[in-house]
Amino acid sequence: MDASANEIPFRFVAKTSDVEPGKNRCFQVEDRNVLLIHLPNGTFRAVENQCSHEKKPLEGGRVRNGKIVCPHHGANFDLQTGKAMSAPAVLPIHVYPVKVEGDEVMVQLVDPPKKPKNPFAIPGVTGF
Amino acid sequence: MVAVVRVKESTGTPAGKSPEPKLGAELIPKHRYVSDEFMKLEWERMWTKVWLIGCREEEIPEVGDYVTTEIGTESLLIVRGEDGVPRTFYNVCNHRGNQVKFDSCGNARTLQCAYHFWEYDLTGRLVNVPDEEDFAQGCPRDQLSLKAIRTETWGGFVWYNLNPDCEPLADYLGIVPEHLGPYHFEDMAMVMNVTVNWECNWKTSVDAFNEVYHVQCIHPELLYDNDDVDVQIDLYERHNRYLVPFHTYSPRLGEELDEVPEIIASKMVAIGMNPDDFKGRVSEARRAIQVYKRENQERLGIDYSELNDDQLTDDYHYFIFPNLTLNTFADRMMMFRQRPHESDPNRMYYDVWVFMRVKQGQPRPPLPDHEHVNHGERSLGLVLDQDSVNLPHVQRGMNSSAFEGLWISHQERRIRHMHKTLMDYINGVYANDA
Repeated sequence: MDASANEIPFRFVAKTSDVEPGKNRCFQVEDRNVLLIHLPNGTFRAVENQCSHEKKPLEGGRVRNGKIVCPHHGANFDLQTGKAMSAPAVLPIHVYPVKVEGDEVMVQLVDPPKKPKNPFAIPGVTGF
Repeated sequence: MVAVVRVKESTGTPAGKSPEPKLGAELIPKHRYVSDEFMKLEWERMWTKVWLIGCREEEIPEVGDYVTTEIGTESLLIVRGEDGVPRTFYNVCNHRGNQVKFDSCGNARTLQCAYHFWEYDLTGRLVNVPDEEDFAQGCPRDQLSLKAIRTETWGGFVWYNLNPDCEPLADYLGIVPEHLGPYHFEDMAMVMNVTVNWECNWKTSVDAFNEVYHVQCIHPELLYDNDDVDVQIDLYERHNRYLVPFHTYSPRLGEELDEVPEIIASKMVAIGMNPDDFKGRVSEARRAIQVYKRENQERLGIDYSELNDDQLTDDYHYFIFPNLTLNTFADRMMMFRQRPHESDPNRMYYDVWVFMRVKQGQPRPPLPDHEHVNHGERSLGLVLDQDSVNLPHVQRGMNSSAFEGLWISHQERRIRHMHKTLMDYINGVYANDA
């Protein structure tokens, strides 16, 4: 995370009791759809509520071993890093830094990295 | 949605639909992908009988420039001679069997083995043996010169054939020079040269690019740029192609799109069009791009005069048996070369070569360094990364006792056609072609 990300304020998303342990739920925060995941061990994760494969919502996907399973085509994502752990997804999902203060869950609305407009683009090759 | 309009006739590359051969609907047995025995048959009856690409001519522009390339258990040495002609040799010194060159490319005045300095000229003839008088049996040049391999050139590529009695390259290529000549591959410059170790059979990789059935599943982004349904498939004698309309959208998306997708807009911007100036329907964007490219070819620095309008946008996607996939566009080409592993049917080498047409008045860009990586170590861009993610799992699945073979659909029939050609080689149909 770069220095400017540290200056982005944490925003309130929900009360800890709004999402049961083991469940996840989407909240609108400003213009973002933030999926809040309450892990069985009591910690929270927050990701953009969009699968990187077909851009469908991840909300309601099963959470196992720190990974969320897309309810549409079964792609797995690591909830800490966002990394795609299984087909059909290749790209990561966007992860929001999260913290809990008292009974409030807060996230930093950092911008997702820009995706290439041209899916054929190859790192290191211009013009393809 | 407006159906994709195709050119009916073309003075250069034929555009029309070819007659469909009858290929049946049988299961393609899985042993062709996993068995050591079949791998040996492929080597003996196919790989050692077909024309294969060894390198680009631009990789060996000067006298004495050489590259080494591997196919199966063989290492080959391709070198440009004093007469300007590229020649291919088995890369082995006839003294003790050392490889004459270990590196992937270089320049040499003579080809000298690094072990005892036996020396061959650029035609492969043995010209110097240190302490030659010490060999009681002598060193007969005819017997000990480098063993030459049939070599020809087409399209800026150096081709070789391990069969000394093979047919000429032009006969082997068949329709290819007529179809792909108008793209002038010889005027394209290589801008990427990557080899990836893949844990799958070479055909598992070939198959992945010979059907668009998978696009809706693993490339959802491409539905906003490609029509993956209205794809013309042409199966020729040994080679085949499909024509995929680009800069339109998939009928699978249903109704006409409201706005030009970002991917098509980015393609407009790349050639100097302002997407905001385009007022037509999204299904008309492909045609608008074709017209714009034709009208602006001088400014774009590329002579499109030998290409039809569809070729200005679409992927004329060719498969040259057994192991070349060409995503061919008017100003660029992405080629895949699949090579078998030397001993394991479950592994292969995937070469990705990208070429750009050199714009008029512009210098050729420098050759890229060759990168050789393991699967996953280097991104090849989103689309190729998506293509590759399933393949090791396909290969493992094919090894399951529960799997009998490939259950192929009509839209996947290029795979069936490739297998027909492969089995024709296995069964000796092409054995007496020379």
